[in-house]
Amino acid sequence: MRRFSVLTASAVGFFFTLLLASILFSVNWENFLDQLLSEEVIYSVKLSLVTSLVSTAVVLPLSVFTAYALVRFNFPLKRFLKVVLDLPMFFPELLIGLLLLLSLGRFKGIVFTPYAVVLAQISVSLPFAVKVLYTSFSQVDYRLEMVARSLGYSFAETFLKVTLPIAKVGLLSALVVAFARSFGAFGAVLVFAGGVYMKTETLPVGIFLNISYGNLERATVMGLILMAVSLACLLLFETFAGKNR
Amino acid sequence: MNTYLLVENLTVKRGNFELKGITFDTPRGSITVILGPSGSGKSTLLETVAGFIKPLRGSIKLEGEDITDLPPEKRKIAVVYQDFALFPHLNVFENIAFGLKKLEKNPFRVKKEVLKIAKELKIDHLLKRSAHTLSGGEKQRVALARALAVRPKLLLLDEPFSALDPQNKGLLRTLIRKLVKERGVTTLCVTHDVTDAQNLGEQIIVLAKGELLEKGTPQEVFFKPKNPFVARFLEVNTLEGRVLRVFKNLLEVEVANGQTWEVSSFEGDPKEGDKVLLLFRPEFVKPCGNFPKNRLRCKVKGVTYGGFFVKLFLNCSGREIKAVFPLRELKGLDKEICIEVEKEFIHARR
Repeated sequence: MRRFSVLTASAVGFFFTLLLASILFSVNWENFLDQLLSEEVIYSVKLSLVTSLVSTAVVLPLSVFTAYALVRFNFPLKRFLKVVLDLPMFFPELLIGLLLLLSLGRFKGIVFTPYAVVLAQISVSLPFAVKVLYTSFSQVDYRLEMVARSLGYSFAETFLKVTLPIAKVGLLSALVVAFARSFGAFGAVLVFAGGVYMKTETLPVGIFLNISYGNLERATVMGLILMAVSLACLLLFETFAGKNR
Repeated sequence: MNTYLLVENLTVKRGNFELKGITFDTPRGSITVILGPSGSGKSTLLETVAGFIKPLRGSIKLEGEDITDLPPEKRKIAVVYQDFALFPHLNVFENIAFGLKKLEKNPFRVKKEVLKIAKELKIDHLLKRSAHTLSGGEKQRVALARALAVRPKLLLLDEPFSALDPQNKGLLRTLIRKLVKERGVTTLCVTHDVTDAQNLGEQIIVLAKGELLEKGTPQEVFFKPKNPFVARFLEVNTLEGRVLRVFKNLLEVEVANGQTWEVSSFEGDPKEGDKVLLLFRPEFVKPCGNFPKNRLRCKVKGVTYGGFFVKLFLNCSGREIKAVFPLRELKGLDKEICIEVEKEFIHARR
């Protein structure tokens, strides 16, 4: 059994290593810098970074209060809210984009703009951030908060001085997850913000557009950047998650 | 009695559980123990007094001030939980200083106070240690120091010894009693452990299924409880009898099988022919010896061990009696034995 499990794990690992490494073999290293510094790639990287940072800045406080409310308080429709927040994690992103288009599409000045990119990224990443923080707040013993209250700290002070510091690792993990999900959001961004060249062209959308045009060289460079950012996020997440174990 | 804490008609609903119309008061500087089996509502009562749970009805007054609607941070009531609830992100010093910092802005004074109470509790060598590296006994002392440091008007202890080994339990019981008495802190302690209640309580309150069944001094509650459930919970033997003769300080009572028992403690002005209930603790039941009266012949129906004592479950002419004997008096099942109880240790009630 042990030998079979280890062999299976090794084979799976080997397959994914090959898959990930294939991008390194496909990059045309002679033109790499030209592609990297091209106007389109720089625009995509900038747009992805700015929109992801804005989305993360919005998602984090929203997910903190939502997750805390779900863990600590009983209120009407709490179970319904939990299901509603969990459901998008099982949807294809494309469907989230369609739902955004159907509900917010009528408002002028949103669809096919960078605002739509941010809204799509928020919709994709928020449920994941809530999930991470829900687990984290669940592990904070409510009696610690009660003790702090009895020692003279108000509800808000207790939250800031006890709950958040204890849930710090979860908070940082949620931040990384929110950023990574926003940075990598594709389907929802494509449908709601449109794949408009140099307007709503985030890195994932850029990869898609360049594959469509047949410019594989640029798509590969964009893919490499995306992979590097994802790897950095993963390492950060593992570091925080490791501290929690 | 000068009332310090007054709880009146306190009704709390939590899911399917209800704390029903609890009323009691405690004098300043006293230790009151709330005793009861699991699920009796002890912790709910404590958390309501602390302000963590809003009551449905009733009021809580501390030093004459109605605090029923005050948030916990305004009540000046400190809580120590059974698993200590030390802040894991702070070291021992910071844990003790946590509440003090809210009262005292001068960091030098905070440090001085922390050092003072840490010395008093013999934890001054642990101040730089992280909370999770401490032993159970050390954690309990830190939790106590943190609570006492803010000079609370009322100290609430929720099963404070249940997570400790027997040796630490004994030490901390003595320490807590000494500290709260020295500082004059009025204390409410919740426990299901009769030994805790005996060692700490000056007033005992017994709760079961959300109702207050009995309150009184340890002497009253442990030796002559009025409530039949409390008698069973505290393992007080009850034996029905009929008064044969009444003397000035003595009753002659006919118990099982025409046996006559003498009783020197009684209440309710019993008359000849009255039915009375005799109450006596299993610890006062002895194998028959020099005292010729107050005897019963019984059959051993069950035995449990408790350290160097055995608890015997006896059937005495259809009555169930419990007896705690030294280990050397261990009797086998279905063995016939003779027991006696001295008249000074029996209480009769009409």
